[in-house]
Amino acid sequence: MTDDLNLTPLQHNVLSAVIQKMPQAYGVSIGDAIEQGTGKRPAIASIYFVLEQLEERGFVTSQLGDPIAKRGGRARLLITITAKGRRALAQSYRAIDAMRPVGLKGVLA
Amino acid sequence: VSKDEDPNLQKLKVDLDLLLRDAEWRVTRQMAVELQQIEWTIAASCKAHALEPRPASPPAWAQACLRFLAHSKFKEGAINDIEELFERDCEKVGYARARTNYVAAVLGMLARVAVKAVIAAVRFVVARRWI
Repeated sequence: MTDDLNLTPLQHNVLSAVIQKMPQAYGVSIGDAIEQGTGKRPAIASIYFVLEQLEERGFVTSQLGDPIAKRGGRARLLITITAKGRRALAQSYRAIDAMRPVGLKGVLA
Repeated sequence: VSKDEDPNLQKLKVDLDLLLRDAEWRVTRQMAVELQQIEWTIAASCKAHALEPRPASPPAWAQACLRFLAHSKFKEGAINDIEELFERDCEKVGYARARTNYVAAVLGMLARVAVKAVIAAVRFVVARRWI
């Protein structure tokens, strides 16, 4: 496992949510997906700081979408996962799977 | 009989005086009624304006803080999302709670920006010492 692809739990959750919500992945929808999955909604600031880190590492790309009338003419920052991000997420899932206690594999699956 | 003592003339004077007083009273009364009506109209209009539902908006100082942060596309996206969450919260949990959530989100943003700035400053100082 290379250190370059390591993810923190929040980075893992955010990347998973981005994949789930693409092509309409943006701050609010990512927060919704994480809340749905984990039962706890991270702060919007946390999501954006993680996204900034992930973009610096080349795991996601972002671009401002068109202004939406429903949002009062405000634009969404749409997030897309890169191939490197997919590899990092796959590796993170493999690591979680590998770390799962053998005796509990059936229980936790 | 002099002109001033003519009883018919005196009676006419009295009648005219009464007529004038009556006319004055009527005009005054009419004016008072009209003024009262204007007053009621203004009061009703003020009340309607006061009861008129206004669009909910987040605290101005918090909005200003957010605008101050908006200099990268990430922050712009975050600001737009915080405002979208505020509107959603207004419908879901009410204005007071939505305001609280909005302020919490703004303070969270500010705290993270401050921490990042401190880390950058420390890194800069350390790098200069190495040189």
